[in-house]
Amino acid sequence: MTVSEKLKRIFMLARVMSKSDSTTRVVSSNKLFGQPEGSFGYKVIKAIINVFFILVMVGYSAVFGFAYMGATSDIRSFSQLVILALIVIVLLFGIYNVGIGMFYSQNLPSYLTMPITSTELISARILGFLKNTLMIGLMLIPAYFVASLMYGNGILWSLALCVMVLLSVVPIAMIALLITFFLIRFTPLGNSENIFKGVYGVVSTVLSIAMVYVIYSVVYSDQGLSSAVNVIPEGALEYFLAFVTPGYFLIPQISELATSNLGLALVYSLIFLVLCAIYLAIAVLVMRKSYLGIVNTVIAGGKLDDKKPEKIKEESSHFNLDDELKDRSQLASFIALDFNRFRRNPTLFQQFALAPILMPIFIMFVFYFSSKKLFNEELGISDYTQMGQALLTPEVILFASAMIVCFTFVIAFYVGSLGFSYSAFSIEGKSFSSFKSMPINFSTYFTAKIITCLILAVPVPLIMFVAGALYIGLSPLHLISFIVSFLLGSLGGVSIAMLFDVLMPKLDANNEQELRNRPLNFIIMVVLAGVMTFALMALGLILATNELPVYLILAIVLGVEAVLALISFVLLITLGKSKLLSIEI
Amino acid sequence: MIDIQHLHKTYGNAKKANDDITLQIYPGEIFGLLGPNGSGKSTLFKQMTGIIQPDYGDVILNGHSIVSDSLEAKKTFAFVSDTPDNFLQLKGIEYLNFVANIYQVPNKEKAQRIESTAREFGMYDDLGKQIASYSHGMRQKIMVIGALVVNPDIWILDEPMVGLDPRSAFNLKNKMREHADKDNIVIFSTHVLEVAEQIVDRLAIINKGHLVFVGTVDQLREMNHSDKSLEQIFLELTDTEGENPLSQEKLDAAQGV
Ligand SMILES: Nc1ncnc2c1ncn2[C@@H]1O[C@H](COP(=O)(O)OP(=O)(O)O)[C@@H](O)[C@H]1O
Ligand SMILES: [Mg+2]
Repeated sequence: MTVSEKLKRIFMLARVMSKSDSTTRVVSSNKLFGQPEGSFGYKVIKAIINVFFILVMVGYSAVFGFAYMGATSDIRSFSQLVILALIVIVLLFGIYNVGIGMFYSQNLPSYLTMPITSTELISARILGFLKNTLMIGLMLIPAYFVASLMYGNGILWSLALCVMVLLSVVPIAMIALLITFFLIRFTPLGNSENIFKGVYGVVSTVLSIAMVYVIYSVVYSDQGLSSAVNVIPEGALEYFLAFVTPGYFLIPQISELATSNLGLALVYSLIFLVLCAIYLAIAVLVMRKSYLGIVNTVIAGGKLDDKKPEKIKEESSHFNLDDELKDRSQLASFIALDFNRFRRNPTLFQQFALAPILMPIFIMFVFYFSSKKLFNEELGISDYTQMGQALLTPEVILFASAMIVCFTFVIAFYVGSLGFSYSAFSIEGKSFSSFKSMPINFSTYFTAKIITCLILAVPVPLIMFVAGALYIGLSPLHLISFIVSFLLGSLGGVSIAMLFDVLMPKLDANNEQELRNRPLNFIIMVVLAGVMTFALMALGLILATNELPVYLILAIVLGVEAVLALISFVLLITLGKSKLLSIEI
Repeated sequence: MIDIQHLHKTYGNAKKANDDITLQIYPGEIFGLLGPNGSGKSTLFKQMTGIIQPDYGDVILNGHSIVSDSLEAKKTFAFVSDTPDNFLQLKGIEYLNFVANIYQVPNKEKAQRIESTAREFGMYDDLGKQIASYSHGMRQKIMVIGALVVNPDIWILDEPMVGLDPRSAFNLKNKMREHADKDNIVIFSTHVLEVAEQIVDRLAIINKGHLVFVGTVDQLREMNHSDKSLEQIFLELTDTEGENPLSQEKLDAAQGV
């Protein structure tokens, strides 16, 4: 076989793998503005919608780059920011796919019986993985392109730099992949898919918190990001880092050199590309030898330590009939169903239930670092309290009430809409066809889903916010409005996110990752939340500048919020229900 | 009684999966639906159970329309689909508990029914395991057990014997007979002629979305010269080359049982 034939085989394999992972047949009798699916009108409308969303996405991204460069004109720190973001994306979302796909995919046994070499299998998997990651990374590219142009690079160099920014995930991805590989190969982690998923969940969560912490602390440090890496640094650690994340170190330099020293820029680009290729090759070479063996033993259900899987099975299969059989209403049955799923599947929990808990932590980081930078010193809790009380003069309270309550609603809306609600329906997958043959009242079903989403999304952030409010010494009136506003925002966000999930469901997802990676739903929610923010903040501002009594302001704001939340809920029950009846699977 | 009225269904722009299917099934009957792969059996069942909407036509189950009164209609039957890979994250016992609660089976009967049915099908000791860890046959069994635990008037079973071991298949056939003998209805599909021959009271043969025969096994033999084997008759009726539906008179005669 020639090299090109071999490459062709690998590409074909990668294509088949990415397609064959989805096997459910969903018969959609979808309609768009009265146009049935498959018709010309449907395609046109669909295309228009897609173009609109791409434009919105590109717009958001480009504005981000424009704003950053307008403020600092520092292409170096911007490059590092974008690449860091990509790396976080890879670590958080990418590795899981490969780990599961490579070792636990349901289709693996079929490939094993075919005359396919392990090199081909691995290469195809890695290709698919890179494709997925790069697709997510594309969101950042318009920002980088604009920034590079603004810095003064030509169009060609800007394009080349964008490609290199995307490629900069390759080394990190390969290293993470190799680590995953060794974990599965040499530790008991590989013995069970569930244990692997669970440990992966914990590690990636801790990693992401650490990453965000590091990024913020660097961004808000005195010198800013640009000083963190000025030249390719000296010292063993720095060289090591430069080798692990060549993009992070080389691309900023190339961006700068492209306008001043073309020759050196070309040399650096070449070094960078060669490094990426080397990482790819190393990954394939290292895994090639033992891959098939590992897969064989994983499929057989146990390896390395043969006793362990048996023990796990025995423990988990023990049951007591009377304990298990609980009388529940339909409503409670659906809630229990989802919580059973979360208990069983740690990744699901990590993907959907953890986000609402992490988000407030991230927001706290921002507050912490920005105020630290503001006052240029360590602040204790008592300092914050003093600061709060100093700010909370009667006039300020009057002005801020409406704003803060509106802001709370928006935050809660955001948190609620990006948690479980986002795939609360799609999670049924093929099982949804069973639901359709059962005597299920779909209003009850939606209500149950919303309760589940709220249980997951509300308590932790609410407790954190309330604790913060108590520290600052908010009055009871404000505290109550605050809590009501939070609940209303959560209800609104959860309902709307679930409505969009029902309208554009993904019932053929193979793993939790595919349920999480749904850019269109994500963008819609971000845009909606953005619109909501502007509208509510405007309302808050108008109310605050009119000399109304506080309680009246609060009443108006809460009233508007209640209406918004109610509309969302009613939309879900009515539109969602009629859509459910037309989904055929 | 089940009254299937002029069902039509086309997927996308392809050929018709069900073309004007009309059929009545009466209490006390085990009714078999026979047909080659892709002939439209599952499509018919999915319309009967509300999983997909008919393009045209209706199904009346014990007086309730699946189209206009679906919630009440769905209370009259339990359905076992031909793909048992559902609810994989749940343990077997959790699935049974869930289904029993959805159909509001009283608690006293629930425990007793689950235990006895699961033991009969040799699944009791596996109920504590996740369905994901079950083999194909075990998944099929847990879905069947779910339907038996709910035990409504009508059972609708899409290829229920596929993947069952001989003892379980035997059990299921007995259960079907018992259920029908209590003046209930069991309708099931299969492409295995022997199964049909053993237990059905009446059967229908479907080919390319058309009903080509409705009646008893004996009528099927009579109408097609009794010297031929059932297999030969089936092959002729479902000949994939020539369209070969029976004449309308023969169909009417068979329907008027
Ligand atoms: N979801 C679907 N989308 C498109 N075509 C389908 C779908 N389900 C079934 N079909 C087609 O409809 C016809 C009947 O299928 P089905 O009812 O599943 O047959 P059976 O159960 O008798 O094997 C087949 O030609 C099949 O390809
Ligand atoms: Mg079928």
